[in-house]
Amino acid sequence: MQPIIRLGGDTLDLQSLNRLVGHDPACGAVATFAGHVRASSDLTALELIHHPVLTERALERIGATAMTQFSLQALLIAHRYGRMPVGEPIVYIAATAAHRRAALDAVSFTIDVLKTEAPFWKREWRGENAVWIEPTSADQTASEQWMETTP
Amino acid sequence: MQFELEFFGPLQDRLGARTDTMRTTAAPVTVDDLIALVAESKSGGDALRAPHIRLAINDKMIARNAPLSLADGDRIAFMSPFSGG
Repeated sequence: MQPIIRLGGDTLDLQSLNRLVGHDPACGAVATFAGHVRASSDLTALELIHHPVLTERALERIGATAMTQFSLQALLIAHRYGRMPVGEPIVYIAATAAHRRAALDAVSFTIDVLKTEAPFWKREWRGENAVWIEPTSADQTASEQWMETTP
Repeated sequence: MQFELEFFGPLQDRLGARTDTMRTTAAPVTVDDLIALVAESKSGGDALRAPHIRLAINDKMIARNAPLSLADGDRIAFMSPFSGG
């Protein structure tokens, strides 16, 4: 089974995304993660920029790895690009599996690896001024830890 | 040869453009040669030498230590470290 990938510029509708994942009665666990634009001083918008080809390809690869590694029934990765105001979701991940550990680990793996391996760039807008957000060393460490434990 | 250059993320501000064109008679045989060639030809090009910059040629990621086989018209993307999610 292939992961469900949604990459687009529209607001993420989490209820609709949940319906895409569905729920197999054999799955005892559904784990989700939603990343939203966090309020900070004077922030007016967050902008996510993606690569027109490589980003979707990277999400497909990360999703396929997660499905195999954690024996998932289903995995959805939805990521938005463009400008979005404070509070709006940027990314949504949902994993279903027979047991909780696999579903929870799959979601952690997917968001940690996505942050350093999917071509997105982020900048914060305050009025007319934009500042690029560089990845943190914590992001890199979290991703590398999964790389070391996943084939 | 002529290459189309693309800069993603903070690199686009450091290089002052999102896209550019480069003509050269040089024939870089390694990714490092290519980076040096572009870095030397562009204002702000030193930013391309940073170790975490990633490259793609015609929408295929290429490792820094990979051999190169460039052709006229190739699109070369220089990408700042990723920061999604």
